Amino acid sequence: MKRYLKIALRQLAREKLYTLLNVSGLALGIACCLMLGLYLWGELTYDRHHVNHERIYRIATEMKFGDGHSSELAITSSPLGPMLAGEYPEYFKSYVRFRDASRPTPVLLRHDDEKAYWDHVYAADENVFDVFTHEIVYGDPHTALAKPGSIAISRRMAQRYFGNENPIGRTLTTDGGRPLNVTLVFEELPENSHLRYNALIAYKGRGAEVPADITARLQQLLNMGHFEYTYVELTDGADPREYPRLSQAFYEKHMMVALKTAANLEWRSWIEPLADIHLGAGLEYDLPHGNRIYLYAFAAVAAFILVVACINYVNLATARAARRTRAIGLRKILGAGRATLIAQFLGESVLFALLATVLGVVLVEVLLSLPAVSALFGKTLTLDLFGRPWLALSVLAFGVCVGLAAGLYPAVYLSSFMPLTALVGRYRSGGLRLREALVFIQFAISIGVIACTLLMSEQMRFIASIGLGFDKENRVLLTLRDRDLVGRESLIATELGKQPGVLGVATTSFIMGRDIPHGTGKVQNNDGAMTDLDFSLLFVGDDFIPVMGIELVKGRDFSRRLLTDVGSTYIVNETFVRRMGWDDALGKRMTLGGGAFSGPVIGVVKDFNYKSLHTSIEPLVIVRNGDGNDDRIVVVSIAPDGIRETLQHIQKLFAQLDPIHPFEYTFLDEELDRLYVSEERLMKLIGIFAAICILVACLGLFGLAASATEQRTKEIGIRKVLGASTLAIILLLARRVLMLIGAGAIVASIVAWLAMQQWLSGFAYRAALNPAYLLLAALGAGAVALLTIALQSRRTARADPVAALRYE
Amino acid sequence: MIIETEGLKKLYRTDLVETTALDSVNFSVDSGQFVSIMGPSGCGKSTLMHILGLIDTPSDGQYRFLGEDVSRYPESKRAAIRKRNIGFVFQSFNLIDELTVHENVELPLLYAKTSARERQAKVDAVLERMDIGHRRDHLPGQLSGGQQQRVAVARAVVHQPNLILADEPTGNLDSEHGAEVMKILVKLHEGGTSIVMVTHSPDNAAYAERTVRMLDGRILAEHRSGT
Repeated sequence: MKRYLKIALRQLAREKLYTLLNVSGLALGIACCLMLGLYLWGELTYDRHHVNHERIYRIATEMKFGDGHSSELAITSSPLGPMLAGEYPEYFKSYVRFRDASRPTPVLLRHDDEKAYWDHVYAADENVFDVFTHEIVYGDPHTALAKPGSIAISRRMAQRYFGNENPIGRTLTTDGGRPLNVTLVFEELPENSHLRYNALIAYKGRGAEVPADITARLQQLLNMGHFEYTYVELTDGADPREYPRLSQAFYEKHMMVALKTAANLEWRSWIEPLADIHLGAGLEYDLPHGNRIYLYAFAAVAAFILVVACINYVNLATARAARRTRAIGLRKILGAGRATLIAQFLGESVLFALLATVLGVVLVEVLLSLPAVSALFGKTLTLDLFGRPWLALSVLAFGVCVGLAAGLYPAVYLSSFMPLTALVGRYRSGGLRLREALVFIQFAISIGVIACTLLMSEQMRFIASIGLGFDKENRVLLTLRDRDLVGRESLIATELGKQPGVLGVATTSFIMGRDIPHGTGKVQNNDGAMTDLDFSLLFVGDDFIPVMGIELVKGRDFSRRLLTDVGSTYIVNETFVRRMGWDDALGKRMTLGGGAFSGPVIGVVKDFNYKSLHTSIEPLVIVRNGDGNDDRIVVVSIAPDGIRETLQHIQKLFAQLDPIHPFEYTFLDEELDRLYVSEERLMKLIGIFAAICILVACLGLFGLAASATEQRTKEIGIRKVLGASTLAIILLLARRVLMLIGAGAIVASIVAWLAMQQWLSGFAYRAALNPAYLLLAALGAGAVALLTIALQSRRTARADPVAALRYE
Repeated sequence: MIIETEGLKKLYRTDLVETTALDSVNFSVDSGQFVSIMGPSGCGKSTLMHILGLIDTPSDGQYRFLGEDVSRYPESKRAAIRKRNIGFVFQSFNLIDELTVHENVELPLLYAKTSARERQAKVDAVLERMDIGHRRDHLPGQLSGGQQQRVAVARAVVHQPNLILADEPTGNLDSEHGAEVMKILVKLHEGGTSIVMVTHSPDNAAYAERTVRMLDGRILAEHRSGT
């Protein structure tokens, strides 16, 4: 054993180029696999840290409308959980509701002078710490949220306000002046939790209880107006497949009459296992979640790089056989059995792979410590082999497997030489067909991945360039956060409008790109009858349509002077008009909020994309805000020149108007760009890995060219004597490979084309697939390959032909 | 009788041409004999040696090695006989470049599954006998031709084979080193080992008890020294 190790190491040291090419290729492949493996592991183990995760489910609901449209929602109404649990105690052990208190605008919490905005603050039922697994730092999890006005906070939040002391019993105050009593501190939730919160407030009081009154109860049961998620824990004997039956019975008992008969709506609900939510189907109003397709893409790319690296090993090992054939033949003459030789060669390849594994691990450690890499993955990945011996063992086992996989064919091939080959004749370059087939595979993979990258970037450019139907550039978003400020919104808007550099000011309750609420209502059709329709609802204040640059195609905008415009006149989009089949939209009546609001349509706007471009435009109703108590968003349109000065003016003004809150602003275009973060990330990652893929393939090609040149030295000499130019020689050496790359390109193009069509189907707006990109990928790969071969064979091709002939 | 062939034939075929390398060769070697084979290039000497050494198979005819008909044996069986009974010495030494002197000599013992201690002792002894012990940790590339051939001979005899096949063992050596190698072969022969040696040199052939002359794949004549 030691002996073979020694010999193998000597072999590695002797053939430095070969070793370098092989080990670096394998190391790169292994490093990519490790990193993507860590990423995948994180994605696939979401929410598994909850001890009861196998019994916990989230309720998802669907509303089906009379016209065949339906919405699948991640949110539920408030009474659904308590009512279900109350009616089927043998099935549901408990329920936990999370109502998002920080959407659409973050919660401001203060303690003494310390104040900060917090996202991900939920009101939760008191048993949340019994159902879900938390690491508790301070406090009693069983009673923490039992009393109204209690708040459980994360360690990070505790540190922010109270330093390292125990904050139990201390008070945090909300923006509205409501005191919250800190009753518990929990450790930061693991990064792979789909629902991550900074604080939980006791879900008590108004809205939390199920109303006793039947009408009120029904109304609440149908009200999906809050961002409220309901989780249930099933009893031990409960079968999750039973749930649809229970849900249906519940629907028929409580909701069917009101929905079906009165509104021609159907309701349905189902449960999603906790651990599946992260990679589940996209539901409306869901929390940010992963995407299975992207995981498959990552896994495929990682596997590709490894395959390409293993192919290098096979190719270089068999191509180099010429050099070893004598030693192998001699060993056989001296009595070596085939099994002995196979073991020796496999040992060599395993050693190679282990060396590469060590290098790969080092590479991963270095890369993962770079902030740019974490940003690329969108999360922190850690290898931590010393802290996780099982992982270290798996990595080692992985290395051995790679070694065996890469070394198997070369070992079988090399050990098959007959002893006589050591003594007579020249070694016939065997295995050529196989090597060519493998080069073909390598380049097909590389070209495919590159083509996908190019096509994806084309789509992203298309998305960026698409007309949204409104202006997103130079729109600054500010938030008015308390009732007092919202009450003065017109004044604030007027003052802002006077600032230099400000072109226009509008207020609104919702803004494009963020969650926009859903509504249902009765709408008058051409015949005058009222029909049901579901649509998106956009509550806006003054001047929203002109300031956003939305085009009014018919009718008029809301008027500041007409009080009747508040809540009782409506502007709809073109899709709405088309869906209703209206001949003339103006004057058609509609009723919203179960009869609370009613009035005519006064205008029609051109369609604009108020959601991400993954979804197409739905019917939309724009309603004029009243003096609500919601937070308000102020949209300030500013001149493109002197943005910094303008912002300073605005900030100064705000410091006077609102001395309490820290000044915060965002740009609309930046917020909208965030909708495509996962695509951008996928594209970048795949782009980088595509580059690595082709790099590894070229490492192999470099080695192959080296051995081909070596074997053909005499031929090259003769050709040069007969007058061949250097270029002609290089082309001679590269011709076969270029043909293989061409063939690979054809296969890769077809696969890439189909894969990208699949990917594009996730977008409502798709760039036309441009075949030029496929050609570009193939030409690029061909050029890189030609360059590689030229680099390698240049010396031989240029050399004095006599020297080449003397080689024999 | 250690070697006995009858009507041994070897044909090489390509698509167009058929070449006869050996044509009905009847040849035998008694145990303990030292036989040399002479003849011009391409007369079939090397082919005969390869067949005798069980690293090639005859196209036709019979080959009995130690009384056993081995002419149709598959490679695995031939390998087994080879590693027990035959030692090879080549014109171009054929040492494995990446192994040290010691490791090269050790190979036959290793493949014969000899214990480590025994290997060590035997290799050391044979290297001393060949007067090359001081170079045991060098690689072949660091040795002179004469030294390399002494290593090759050491490797051929370390497992005490019945038969040594030497294919122009002095062909790449100057006369002084050549004479050294011949002396070693004579000594081995005196110790009872059978030797078949191909050579171009009448001087070297003179060391043998018998000399066989070959031409165009046939045995032309035989000459016994002393008769």
